[in-house]
Amino acid sequence: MQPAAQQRDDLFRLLVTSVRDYAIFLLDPTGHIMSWNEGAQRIKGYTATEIVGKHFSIFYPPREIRQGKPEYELRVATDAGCYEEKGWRLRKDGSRFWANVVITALRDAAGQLVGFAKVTRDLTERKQAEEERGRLLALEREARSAAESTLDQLRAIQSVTEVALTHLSLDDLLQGLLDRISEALAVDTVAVLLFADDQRSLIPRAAKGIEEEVQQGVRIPIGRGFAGRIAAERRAVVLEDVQHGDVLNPVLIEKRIRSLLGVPLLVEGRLIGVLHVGTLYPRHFSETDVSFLEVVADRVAIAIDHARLYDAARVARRAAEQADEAVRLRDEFVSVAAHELKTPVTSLRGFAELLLRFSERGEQLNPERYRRILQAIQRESERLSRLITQLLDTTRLDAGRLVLDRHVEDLTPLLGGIVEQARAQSDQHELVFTAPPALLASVDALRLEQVLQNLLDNAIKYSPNGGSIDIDLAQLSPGLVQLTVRDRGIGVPPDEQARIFERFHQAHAASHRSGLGLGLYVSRQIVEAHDGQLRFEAPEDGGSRFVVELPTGAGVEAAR
Amino acid sequence: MTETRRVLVVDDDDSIREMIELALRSEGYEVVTAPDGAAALALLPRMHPQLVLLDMKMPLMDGWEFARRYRQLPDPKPPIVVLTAAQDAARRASEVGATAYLAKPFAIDQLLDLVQRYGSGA
Repeated sequence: MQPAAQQRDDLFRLLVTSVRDYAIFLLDPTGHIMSWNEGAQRIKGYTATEIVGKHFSIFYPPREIRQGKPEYELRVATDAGCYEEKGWRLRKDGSRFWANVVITALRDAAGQLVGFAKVTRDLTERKQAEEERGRLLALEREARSAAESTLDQLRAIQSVTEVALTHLSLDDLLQGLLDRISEALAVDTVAVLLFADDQRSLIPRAAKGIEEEVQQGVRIPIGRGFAGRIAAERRAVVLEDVQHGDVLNPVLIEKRIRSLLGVPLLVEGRLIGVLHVGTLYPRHFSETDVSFLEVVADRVAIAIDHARLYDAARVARRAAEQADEAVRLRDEFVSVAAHELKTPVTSLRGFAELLLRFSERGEQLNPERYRRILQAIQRESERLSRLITQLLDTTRLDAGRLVLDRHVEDLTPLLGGIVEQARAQSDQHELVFTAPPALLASVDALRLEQVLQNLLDNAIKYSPNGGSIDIDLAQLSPGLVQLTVRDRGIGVPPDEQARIFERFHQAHAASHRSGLGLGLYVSRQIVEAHDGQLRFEAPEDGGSRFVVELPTGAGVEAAR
Repeated sequence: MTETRRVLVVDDDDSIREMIELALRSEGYEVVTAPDGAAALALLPRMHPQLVLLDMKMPLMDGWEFARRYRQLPDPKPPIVVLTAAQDAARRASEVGATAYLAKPFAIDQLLDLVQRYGSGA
């Protein structure tokens, strides 16, 4: 060997022997170790003197030796020129390391196998890093999925809370909550049962999937059945396989509910009811399901409590509004009544003072003038007295103290007299009275007169352009009498027709026609006290028709 | 007194119209009456009253509507005295721009005083 080549070989040998990161060594064709280097000693733990001459299978785990793995590797290397793998190898101290192994077949110029070069790298650290990374990745995935499921739960709770916070009526609120809960837990039934007024039983207040139980008004005693048990124990109860006897509620039994989960509804420790969910198939309710329902139950309970207060407040507010309206109506009535009373008093006072003046001055009034004044005084006194009667009647009617003094009367002359009086009131109107020669009925004569008087007053008042007013009295059927008053006046607008019989109501208030707004109210009360009916009809050709139907009443046959 | 003083009485109540008319005539006034605002407006141009006694609550045309249209008439116009049975007579009077008001029921003396004060100077 030439000196330069010798030197190069020496350098090369030095390189191989001193490489520390790779175990590089030679095997003879049968696999015995022929050389060793620094890296081999570092990775495998053997010194050159210990290992040279040994078979390389010493580096393999026993199981692989039994499987003939070392020989197999040499065979592959021999045939293919090279064998490469990653696998576990043993160190001298028996510990395992993850190795990258390359075995290369060495042949001489004639192609004869002279041995193998084996290069091994210790990848344990990399392997560990990879494993660590994998583990971290798995952990991260797990954490993410946990976070996502928590987020889902939070969303579900939030969606329940959203409904719980809206200011709905209790019914709307419960329906909304049940929808959200059944969706979030994927259950077939949801029910809210609340304490009955007796505080000893639960009544289904809202349900989804088992709506019948609300309609049927099932009552569950505390301590019995599924809901009763939750109420008694004041804690969550799970029935994963509902057995006969576990539940009392016939609807749950009928529907063959297989699994149930229920929690108490508590507001600041006070039990207000029970919330339960159920499935038609056997279901395992997880810890998460239970705690979810408990969290939801807290919100549901508070929401129900709020909604109840809200409903109560609304009822109170409505009552207050009605009271205000009643007071307003009464004030308005008092002011209308005062106005109505002052009008005849103005005439009375004026005429009285005038008469006094004339008499003091010794003035002689012409007899016709004098008579007219006295007639006016009489007319206005009667008007005043009628108004006062009406006022007293309303208070009497309000107190339910209208007492009838019924006698068998002949209605024809009785009502005919009233028509006669009304004729004197107006010369613009033609009053036509049609009646049988006699018609007996048991009535309070004064009250019935009052009814016709009111109807005629209205007919005249609301026919400003005059016209005929028909008053018809007839025996409608045996035992039933009908009286109708029909005018050709301004009628009643359709939107007012329902209200004209209300107290203080004046259909034409804006037109300042006089009156207390009591006539029709009082009249209807009187007619109804006679077990009769008073109604309004709108004739097609305008004007108004009021119809009174009265039973002739007991004693009429005897009187005949 | 050089001319007969004439008063227009607008009230829907027959008795009150008659009573006021009697009271004023016995004191020498000439009296024209109308049962509502529309009738009163129709009378104004022919009758030239020196004073209008106006009720507020009347059918067909009430005191407010009458006063609104009255203000649109050319001057000179006779003053208005409101006669009302409502509690707030003063407010009603100012609402329609009346010169004075008299709450019903009133004394004949009060009526005559007012008519004399506002009905003679026009």
